[in-house]
Amino acid sequence: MAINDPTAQPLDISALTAPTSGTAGPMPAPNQSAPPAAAMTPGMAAPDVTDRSINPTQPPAGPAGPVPVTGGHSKLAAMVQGLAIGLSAAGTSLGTHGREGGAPEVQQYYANQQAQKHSAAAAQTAQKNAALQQQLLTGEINRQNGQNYILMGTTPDEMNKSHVASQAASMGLQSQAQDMFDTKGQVPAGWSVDPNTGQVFQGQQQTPANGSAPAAASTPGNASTPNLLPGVTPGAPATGTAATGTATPTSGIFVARQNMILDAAGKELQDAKGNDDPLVAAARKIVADPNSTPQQKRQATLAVQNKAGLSADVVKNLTAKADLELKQATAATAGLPKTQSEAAAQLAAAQKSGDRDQIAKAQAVKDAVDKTVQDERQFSSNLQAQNQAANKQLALQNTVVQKAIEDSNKLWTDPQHGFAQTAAQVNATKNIVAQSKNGSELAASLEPAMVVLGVNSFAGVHRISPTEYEAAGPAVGSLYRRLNALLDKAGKGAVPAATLSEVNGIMDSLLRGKYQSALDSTRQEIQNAPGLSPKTYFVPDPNNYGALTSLDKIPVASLATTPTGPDPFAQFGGKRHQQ
Amino acid sequence: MATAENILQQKAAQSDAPAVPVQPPVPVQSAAPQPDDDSTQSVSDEDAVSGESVNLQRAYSKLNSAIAALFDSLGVRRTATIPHVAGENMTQHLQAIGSVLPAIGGVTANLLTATHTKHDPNGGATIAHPAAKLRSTTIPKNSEPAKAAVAACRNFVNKAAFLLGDDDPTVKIAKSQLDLIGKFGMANMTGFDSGVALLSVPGPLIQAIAKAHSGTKDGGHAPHLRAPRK
Repeated sequence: MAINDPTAQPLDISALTAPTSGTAGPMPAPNQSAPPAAAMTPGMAAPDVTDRSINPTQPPAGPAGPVPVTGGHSKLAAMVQGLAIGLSAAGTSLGTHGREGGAPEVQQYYANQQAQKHSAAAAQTAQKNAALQQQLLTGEINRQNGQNYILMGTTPDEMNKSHVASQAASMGLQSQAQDMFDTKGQVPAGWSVDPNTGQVFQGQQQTPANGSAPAAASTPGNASTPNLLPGVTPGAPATGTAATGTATPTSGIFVARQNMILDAAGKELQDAKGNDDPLVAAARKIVADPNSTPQQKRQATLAVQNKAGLSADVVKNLTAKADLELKQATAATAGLPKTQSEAAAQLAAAQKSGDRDQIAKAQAVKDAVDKTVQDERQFSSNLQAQNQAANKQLALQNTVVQKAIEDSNKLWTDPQHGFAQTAAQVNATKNIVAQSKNGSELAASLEPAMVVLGVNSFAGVHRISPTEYEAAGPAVGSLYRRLNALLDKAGKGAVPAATLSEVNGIMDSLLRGKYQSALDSTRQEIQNAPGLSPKTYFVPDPNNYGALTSLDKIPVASLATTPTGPDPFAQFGGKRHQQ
Repeated sequence: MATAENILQQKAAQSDAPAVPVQPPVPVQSAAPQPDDDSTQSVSDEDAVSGESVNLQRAYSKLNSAIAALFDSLGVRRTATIPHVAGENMTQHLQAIGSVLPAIGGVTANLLTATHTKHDPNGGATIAHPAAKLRSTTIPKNSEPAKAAVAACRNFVNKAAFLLGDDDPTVKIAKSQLDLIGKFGMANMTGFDSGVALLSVPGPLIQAIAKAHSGTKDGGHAPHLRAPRK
């Protein structure tokens, strides 16, 4: 056996330590005789009568091993061991012609022995560490077991789900619904949004029976605002959107938050000239629109917010800022007196306290309240005076309008001289004129038409008097003169067909003049009557007297009413004069 | 000198329940389930949660009782059985345990199990088994006490799942751990490892339940369970 083999067992020289034994002591038998195979079966084995019970009064026996070498023999044993190692190394060197053995083998032997001692120490340390870890684990388990009992002592003996889960689950849904509204502007089915706060809740928004929005009652300026003083109305009641049934408030914390975000995003999106982005303008319109739903307002704000690239932290800060401003505004008005009597009471209390600052503050508040009340009274007085004046004006306007309508209608529908009657009479006269056999019949046939045209003395040989010419004006008067000339020319004899045709043309001209006269008068009266519009006033159509058209669609004739078309006087050797 | 024997004898004199420092192992047959005992396999997991409410303290007490019965069935002798003395509170009982433990190797040398005063038919006790002996003892195949201990643990986990919901992370972990531990009836596991495993599974569940229930108190998250404020 090579002694430099690390796996080699050291020599057992424990027998040397026995005081009564020498190196030539009896050697132990290397192998004990094995029992017969039949004796190895359980049935043939000897009964185990070993008492393995634990006796706590007796200490446990130590581990079995070689008898330790003690006393002066230890030195002798060490010397003999060293000599044996040296001789073994020398023998090895001789046997291998110096390749192995010698002093290096001796040194290697002692190095191996040292390494074995280190390994044994390390193994012992690891064993201690493992034992310590196990002890720590045991202690930890025991502690945890005790803590479990203590924790369960904080809960009821019988527990159901409501003790731990129901409210948490409900709050989870609420949180999810709120998050959906805040990030997408949508709410799940069966959920609603408070238009004042933007708070999402389960169920439908309660709508009052009168159809107004629930939040409208708390809107500033509403009629429910208490009066500053009895009999004094601080402001006009809210009108318009409150009664629509779908209106949402245009103020409140929710709208303030949206506006705060729009302001911040609007600054980011302004162009070089400082103009608002169209998206921002549209969003502002939606947020300010009382008919917009909270979802629409939130979605409009989200679109702007995303376009501006506002982060969640920025939006959170803006929201907090809006809340803070609202709180400050609320706090600024909190504690202020609502009436003069309250202000006087606060001033009296301050004077009683003797605190100059408090007195000055209360005095200032009272002065402000007094001034406000005085202003309110003055406003109310002015309002009443203005209302009275407005009522008078309204009554006058109504009278003017009524008169204008009546006069205008008379121009067109008066049974004696109205345009409708004139048109009917002229048409009837034209048929009779065509059947006249002589000048007398012609003159007689014209008489009814002359009456409705306003000619008073048209009869027999007198025809139309010069006075009538003057009264009829230059345009119509010339027609009368022409008519007189034709009738005089015809005399009592037969009337030429051309003359009859010319008479009918003159009648048409007279009717057209009547129409133009009535039209001009109507246009003037309608324009002068407040509240009346040419668009809503209808008169006979100039191209078809049987039809109606609105006044504004008839073109205004120029002052120079020169007739157009062929000159009717040419066939008689004359010519048309400028009128 | 205050030895463990002296202390336990003093406690025995104060209590009606017998206090024996070293009791012989309880035979397996003596660990038969009580009429209301759902800690064994005689009660299926489906029956563990059958009503509107659950009793976690009773389930945990039966889990401890089943583990102690398992240790006893392995032949590991108890180092101490510290019964609950009628009238003493938890602090006093812990003080009694603290007095006994130094005499039997300390809290790190013994694995403790404890049954509930109210839910244990014997009035509740804290039982110590030597950790070293448990580490050197393995559970044989088809051990009924081992199966009963796993069933008791599963019973507790199911009750906790009833309260927390199956989707709760702690419930998922506990069920996975229990499936791993009880796959083969804990055969060939050491007694110590089985006890540690079964006692470790309910810990996070109890913490989660206690945390959730703490929300029902003033300032918590369940205002509907609080008394109305004035």
